[in-house]
Amino acid sequence: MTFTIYELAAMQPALLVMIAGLLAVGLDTFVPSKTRIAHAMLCGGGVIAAMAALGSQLYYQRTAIHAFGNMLVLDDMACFLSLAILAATGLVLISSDADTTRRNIGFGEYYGLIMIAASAMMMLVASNDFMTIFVNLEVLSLALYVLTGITRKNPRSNEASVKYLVSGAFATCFFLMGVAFLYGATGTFALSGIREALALGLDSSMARVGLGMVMVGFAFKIGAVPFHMWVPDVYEGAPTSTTAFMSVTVKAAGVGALIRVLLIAAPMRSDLWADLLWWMAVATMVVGNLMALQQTSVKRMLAFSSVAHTGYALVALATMRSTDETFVPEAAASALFYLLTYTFMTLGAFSFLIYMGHELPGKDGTSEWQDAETLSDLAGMADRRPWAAAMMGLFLLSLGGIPPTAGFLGKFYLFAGAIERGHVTIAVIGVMASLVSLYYYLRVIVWMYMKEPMIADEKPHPSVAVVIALAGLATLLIGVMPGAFIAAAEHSIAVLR
Amino acid sequence: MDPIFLIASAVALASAVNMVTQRNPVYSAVFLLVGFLAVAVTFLSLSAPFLAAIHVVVYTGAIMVLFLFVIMLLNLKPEELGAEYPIETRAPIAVLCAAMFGMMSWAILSDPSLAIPAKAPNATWGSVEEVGLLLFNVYALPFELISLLIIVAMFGALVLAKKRLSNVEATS
Amino acid sequence: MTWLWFFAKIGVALGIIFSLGPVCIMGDRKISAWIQGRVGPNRVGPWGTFQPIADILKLMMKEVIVPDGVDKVLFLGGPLIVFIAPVFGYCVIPFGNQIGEEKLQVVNLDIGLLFIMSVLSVGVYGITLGGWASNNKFSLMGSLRASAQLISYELTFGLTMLLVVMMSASADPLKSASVDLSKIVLHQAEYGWNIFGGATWWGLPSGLIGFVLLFTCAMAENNRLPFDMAECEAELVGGYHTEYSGMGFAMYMFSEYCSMILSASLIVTLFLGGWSFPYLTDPADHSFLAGVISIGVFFTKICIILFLYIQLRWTLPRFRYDQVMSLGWKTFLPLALVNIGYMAVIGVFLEKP
Repeated sequence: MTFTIYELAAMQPALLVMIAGLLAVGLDTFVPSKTRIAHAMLCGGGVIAAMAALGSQLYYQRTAIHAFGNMLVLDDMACFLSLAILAATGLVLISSDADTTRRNIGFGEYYGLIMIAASAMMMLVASNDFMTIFVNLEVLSLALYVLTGITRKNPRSNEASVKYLVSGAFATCFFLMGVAFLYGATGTFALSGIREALALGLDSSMARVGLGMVMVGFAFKIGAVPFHMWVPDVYEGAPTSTTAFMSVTVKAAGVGALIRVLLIAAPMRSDLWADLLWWMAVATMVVGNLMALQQTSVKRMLAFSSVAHTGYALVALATMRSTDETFVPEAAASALFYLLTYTFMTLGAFSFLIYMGHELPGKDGTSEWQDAETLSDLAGMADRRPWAAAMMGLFLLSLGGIPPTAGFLGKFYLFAGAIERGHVTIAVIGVMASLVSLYYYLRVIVWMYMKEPMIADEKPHPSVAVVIALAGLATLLIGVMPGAFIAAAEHSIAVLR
Repeated sequence: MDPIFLIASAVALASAVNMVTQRNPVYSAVFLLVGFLAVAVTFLSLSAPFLAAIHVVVYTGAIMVLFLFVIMLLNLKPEELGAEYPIETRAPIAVLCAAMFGMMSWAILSDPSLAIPAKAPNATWGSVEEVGLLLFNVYALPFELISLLIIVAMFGALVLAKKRLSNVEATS
Repeated sequence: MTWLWFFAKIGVALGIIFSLGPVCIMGDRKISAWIQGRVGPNRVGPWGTFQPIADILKLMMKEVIVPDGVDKVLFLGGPLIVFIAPVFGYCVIPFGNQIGEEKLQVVNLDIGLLFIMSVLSVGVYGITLGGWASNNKFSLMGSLRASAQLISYELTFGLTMLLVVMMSASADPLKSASVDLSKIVLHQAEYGWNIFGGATWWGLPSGLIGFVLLFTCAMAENNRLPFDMAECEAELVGGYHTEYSGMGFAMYMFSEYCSMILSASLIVTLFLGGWSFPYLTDPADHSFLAGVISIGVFFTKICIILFLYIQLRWTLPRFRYDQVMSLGWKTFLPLALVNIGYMAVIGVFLEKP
């Protein structure tokens, strides 16, 4: 087997991001430690170049590129999710300007790790082989462990990093064991090879257990119940821009890879995984929302709400097998679309918390930055920061699923599809769960608009305002004219088969 | 079955159990070491000599040395190790682990595909040459991506562990 | 007949280690005396030649003291582990050419080089565990230093071994790069020693640097002066063997010489053509006489390397600990990498299409 240089085209967008990240690390040697313009231009350039590469792939090349013995395939789904990941990465790069300058985090290491994680995610959604899936999953996890603990003086951040590392290593064990079982049953790591082997009609108990363990591994990474325990602690402890980054991109990448595994490796064995996913989706929606109800910290509440939103996305996968036993892979399109909407609204909400950061007097005369976290931090902000508060209100309503926002359309598309395929129960549970979620989203809005301010020294960071505006624009845009996005999502799944 | 395989796997299992049950961390590390060596021997008996050698070089030669290094550097006294978890905590975990183990053994033992004999390995199967050819041909992409993984790991360790110079020190 | 050959070969291999061991100890003392202008041991036997035997007898008679508070199992097990490792490693060293159908090598493993690496890496546990089990701060420091030093130098060690594998592939028409030690030696007998660049003069700088790197790393891994960080008397009393007496100490000391001999054999095998010597040996000659001559050549080469070892011990000043570390990580590792890169380029350019 020989490879040609042209096969690099399949990983070109990811490669651009990766190279920009690695150069950003090296840049620390050459530029003064307080200068960040070089890093920003390099990483921003990498993101834009990768987006351009993906765009040309989508509009000029059009056919999927299968590279390296079909280990990596740049098809429309990979492009769709890569674009979502890149959009999130670009926004996080802008908003992390606040975190890096306020907390004195090195620009090179921070931007470098984010870019490397993003490139691993882009390769993950394009991976067509368990070998590449596993390696990319590990690269992105490692980068995120470090990003979580990057504020080394902060004990909460350290604790979060260690928790993430330990639970992530645990998840990796499950995933790897599952891959080993699948290999034992089928003799190959390639997703299409596994499908062929399973199609031979072997009722393999090893493949069954292997698939289950692989799904457990994925559930850990995307934070689905009952493997969600690490989510609130890690999201709360990590610097908020890291939280924003990982809450949206890891879910997009993880769910994307899961969709590819399910649709390419085991489509005809949906009897094996549909029930498992059904229970997982229901548990995730219910537990995520119920736990979010009890939180007083907005950051922690958003963490639990992201667990709940994983559940919504899983609904689409769980109902791919309709009640009359036909398999409807197109259902996965609603998960992709939901992930897209989720990306912008969650990113916006977390960015608002960064935007409202204030200085806390620390020990020995220094001051420490504190992002807005509790409800009282946000009290009365509608008077003081009307535009930002309005945007936050928009994100929260979108998360709760109120029209005309993106979140509403995502949920509508999702649950309508589920009902269409006969899964009324899970749709009803989902709608009930999002009704419950409205309570805690609206509570934040009530505090912002109807309480007296308790903090008067918040120092908004201008670059974060840009992120909030862009995310709000995207949330509204997708909400008002979703046609193109839904069509793109449906097309991505259609070519996957 | 091959008696060497049976003996080596028995040793591996026994040392694994011992590793978990020992109170003294150094003893745990030593039993893990013995377990690694025994696993290497099982690899040898399964005609995977390259894997066996690499297993010993990487795990016992590098990773376990670092483990022992850290354990000895901390040099915890038995009284500093902290109380054991109460039986109420340990029992459910034990049951879960046993269930996990049971499920995996059931999956392997009841699998009909294992009744089909595996592809007969030729003489050079599992040799250094064969593994090398696979790594640099079929699995070239994951192999190269591993280097990215290692860069991130190394870089992350540096970021988390290095002494950060304050700006005053950096400029002077 | 095969069994007889097997035992005979084990006998020769063990003979090389166990006869050279005491000779080494004796040589160490005599040469140090010679370098320092002293007389050295001269009481037992003619010119003091029976001194090592007397030493061993003395150490065997002494009481094995197990101090209070030590971890008994590991305290007694440590010397054993450290002693077994070099003996195991000798299994795969080809100490001579073929006699008839029998290769003069105890076991002919495909993974010979990797086997040696794994055995050497296990050896350090004897030092580490023994030092920890002694329940003594100095011992612990010594064993920690030993493990740190081993990890640091093992990288360069491994990379230099890789260089040898690449050299045996560079101009080989059969393209049979191998980690099988007997093949590596045969390749050198055919095309030229690896220290001179193997089959091509372009490899000369690579070979010379590789030899120096391997030699130094072997010295560092054996904790020999000037790398005796693990047991330096001036700082750590005796390092990891502070608490040992009698046979425990004897085994530590003897195993140090054994691993010296193993390293010397490895250096000879990898870089100095093993049992081959121009005009003296002929790889195609499988007679008994030629086999004995090849063993003799191998033995002589080991002795020369061992002499270098001992002479360097008394010639060079000791390193400081941080110097040892920075030498390993900042000088040797990059040098070994560059070396390998150079050899890879050479190999690609010399490749016949």
